[in-house]
Amino acid sequence: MSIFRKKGRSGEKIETQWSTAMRNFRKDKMALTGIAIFVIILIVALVQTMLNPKGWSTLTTDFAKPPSWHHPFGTTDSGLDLMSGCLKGALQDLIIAVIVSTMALVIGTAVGAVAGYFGGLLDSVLMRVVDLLLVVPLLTILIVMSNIFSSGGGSPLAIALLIGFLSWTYISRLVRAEFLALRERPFVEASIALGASSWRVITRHLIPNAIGVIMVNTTLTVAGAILLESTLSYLGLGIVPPAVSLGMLVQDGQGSATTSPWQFFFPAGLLLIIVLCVFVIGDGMQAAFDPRNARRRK
Amino acid sequence: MATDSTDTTRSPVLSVRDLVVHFQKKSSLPFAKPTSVVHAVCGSSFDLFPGETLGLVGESGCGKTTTGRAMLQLAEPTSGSIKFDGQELVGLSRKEMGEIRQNLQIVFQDPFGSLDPKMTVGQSIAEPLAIHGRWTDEEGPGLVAEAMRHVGLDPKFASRFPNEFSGGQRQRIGIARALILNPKVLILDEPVSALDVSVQAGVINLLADLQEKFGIAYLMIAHDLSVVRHVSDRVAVMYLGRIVEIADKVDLYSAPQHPYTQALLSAAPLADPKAERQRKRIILEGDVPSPTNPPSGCRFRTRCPKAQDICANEIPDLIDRGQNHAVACHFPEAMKII
Amino acid sequence: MAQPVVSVKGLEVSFATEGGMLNAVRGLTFELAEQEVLGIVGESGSGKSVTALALIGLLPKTAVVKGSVEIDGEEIVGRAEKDMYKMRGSKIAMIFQDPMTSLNPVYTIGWQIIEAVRSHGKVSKDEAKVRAIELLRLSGIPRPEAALDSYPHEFSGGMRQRVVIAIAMANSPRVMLADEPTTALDVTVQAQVLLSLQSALEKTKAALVLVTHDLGVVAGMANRVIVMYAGRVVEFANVDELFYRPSMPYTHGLLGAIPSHAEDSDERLSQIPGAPPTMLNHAGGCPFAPRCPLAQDVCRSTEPALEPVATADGSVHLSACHFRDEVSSMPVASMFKGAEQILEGAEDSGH
Repeated sequence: MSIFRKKGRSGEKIETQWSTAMRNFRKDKMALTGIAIFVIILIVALVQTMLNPKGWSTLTTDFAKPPSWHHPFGTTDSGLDLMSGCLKGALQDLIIAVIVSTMALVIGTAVGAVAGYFGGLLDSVLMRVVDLLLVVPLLTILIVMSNIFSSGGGSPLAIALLIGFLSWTYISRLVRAEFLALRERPFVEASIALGASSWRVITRHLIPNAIGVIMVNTTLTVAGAILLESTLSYLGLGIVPPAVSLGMLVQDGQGSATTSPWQFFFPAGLLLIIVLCVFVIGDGMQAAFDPRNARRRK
Repeated sequence: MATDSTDTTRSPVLSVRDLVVHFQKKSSLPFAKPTSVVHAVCGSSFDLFPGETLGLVGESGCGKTTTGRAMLQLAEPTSGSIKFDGQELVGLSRKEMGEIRQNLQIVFQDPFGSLDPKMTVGQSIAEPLAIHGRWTDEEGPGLVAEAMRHVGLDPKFASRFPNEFSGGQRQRIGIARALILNPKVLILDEPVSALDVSVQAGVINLLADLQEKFGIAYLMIAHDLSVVRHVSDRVAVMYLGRIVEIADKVDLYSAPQHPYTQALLSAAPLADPKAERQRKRIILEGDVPSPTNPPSGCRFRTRCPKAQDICANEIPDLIDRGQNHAVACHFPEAMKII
Repeated sequence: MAQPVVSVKGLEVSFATEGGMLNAVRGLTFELAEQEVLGIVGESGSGKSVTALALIGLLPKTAVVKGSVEIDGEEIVGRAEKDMYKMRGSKIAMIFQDPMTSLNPVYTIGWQIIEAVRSHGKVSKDEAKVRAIELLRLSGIPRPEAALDSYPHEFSGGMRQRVVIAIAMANSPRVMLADEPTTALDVTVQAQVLLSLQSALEKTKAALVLVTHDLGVVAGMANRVIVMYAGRVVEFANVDELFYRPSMPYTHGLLGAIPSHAEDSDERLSQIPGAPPTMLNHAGGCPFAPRCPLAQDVCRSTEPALEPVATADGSVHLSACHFRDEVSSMPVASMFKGAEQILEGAEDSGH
């Protein structure tokens, strides 16, 4: 959209949708708080994992110790530093979530856009595929597939691709519904009348108008992916040691939730905070992308 | 806006012959029985000459909007011919049509829906330039500002979003967008019917000014007979997919020959209480039949006070009855309607 | 005038909004006798539809209504919803723009009319059916017996609107309110519906309040006309006075803005510059002053009262303009010639 960034002769800057959305987003205190917490967790996790890469694999003699200066989150039954584990797990979860949501975003938007815009047979075929993926319970597929995958030792990448491959259907249905409605709007016809190609109509008009839905649901997918991975790990079908994830820690910790509660509450709490942050960010994005909202929020 | 439209030596900029547009509602289920066909436009022919305004009037469902959309391939013609500057448009690919669109633009009825709410006004007006590869960073913004000034909008509002503008202003934005490529023909699809009276006047005046300034030909589609009389040089009346009468506006309004035109004129209210008290209305019976199952012969016969047997059996041709006044009726008769 | 059927005194309607009090209607006063037709004209946001809703007590609960509305001697303002039921239909009936909103799609036309007939009186089913057929015939429905068994969706817009008129007539109301009754209809159908409306008035001797933006419809139907602008009555006169001797520049502007299909004119339409004001927190001064080519300092500082203009036939002609007498002697819309604004600005959102 570079052509519109230039200043008009009148001297007023002609803004892009993104810059407006970002400006609006910056005024949203909730979303900013969400981002701040999220970024802090990310940075701390990165720094900690880099400074102390062996944190989670170094056995100590502190078995199941409550939080202290030395072990801020306490230690596990087997004497591992829980903070190292939580941060490493969070990082692992975030990497998986990014892969999953990127896949969901790209595949979901593309499939939804094509089905919604062109309609007809293509739409029918694509939507039947989506239906097929949707009618089979996601968790069941994941359990079966991860069993096959993790026989060689559940690699995080394989888990991510697996979840990603199964998570785009929701977005694609929403994008399709959104496109079906948008396609009938007069401004789309106006653009076609001006000679715009299908590509242009989709990328310049339909996606920007559906961006709220797309962004919000992509962030929801992030949350969903984290939760799914946790569920898998919790069931013992996800990531396997020495890799670690928050779900795995929750599962390990739940047995001792009454005796040494920190083992359960720290990983579960961190998981909750991350997921909440992602939701708040998604909410803020939706508001930011709606120009009507934007002015009002001022 | 007066141009001499009786001059037949000029060549038309837009020439439509026997245009037929049928819509078939396809069922998405395989093996479903074929659904009914909507006969939206059935054999319309007309010419639009450079710099003139042809009004296309009729009631809802008469096919006037579909006719306008067919000019731009927004509705696919089933058969017939549409020639722009001598070039056949029916059957052109989307790409080939793209070139034509620079000279053939449309202004839509709905000023609230026809602008992308996520684009600033400046982006919307600039879109045709971008589509046709004519945007340059040096000249583009200037062209946008100029187009805005032409339609009476302050260019400093280019960075605002459509929702900050009133209906009349949005319609001006739509006109600026259609104008920026300097088209030869503008299809105006009910451009003022969604606007309040005082605002409507401003847009009508603007369209007249622009035509005078740039010599654009207008195909003005409207249901409001008064507006059409005010802006047009010639007027075509449509009923259920067919043009029933086409003439210079003075002839058409002062001596309409088709019973439908007469009924239409007689039914339209006048903002003149004394005239209203004196008028004797021709009240038509019933409603417009469904375009999925139009009557045989003359389509107006089911409501026509003059209908005879021949009207059910033979489709009346649109015949020129002198002075470019063509009527499709078996029993045409000029009649003054007040 | 004999005992008026409708008597409205100082009606004010306002809504509390985030941006402050929105004064939708300010100080509306009029009286209406049997079989009289009052046209209320104005553009979108002028308060004309709110007025209609206020007269039948259908405003949302957030509305603050002051003043008095008497229908056949009974006060409407402040009346409990329970009592309003009895008024609606029997004393006052409403015809909306979209007949689909006032007809229930799941019941037959016959059921709905019979229901209306029986809701305000002890009538047997058979009697009600006879009456229903009669009502449908009166409002111009062909083959009314067959129509009884039809559902609303089987009818066209014009036919539906005539059914609504038949229902409105069912209990011989004293007043009928029609809010843009023909705006959604085609012109030949509009003519049919207006004819039905006229015969309904003759039959029931009701008064009609006709809210519309269409000056042509008003010219043909109304005896007297109210012009509203920014929630206020700016002119009130009988129909001839209003169309031929308008005394308020806004009315001039409206009349000059509509082209005619009866005569040719290459003249430009008169164009009122600018846009109507928002009705939030009225600042004082004449609300039309910012768009008025005749505006003086006094117009911007003092809001003109609605006061009489001298008329030839002695009829009541009120205008809210400081220069009402000068304006009434000007040719229609003459003050707007050449008063076009060069550039239109976006309204300032300013909140």
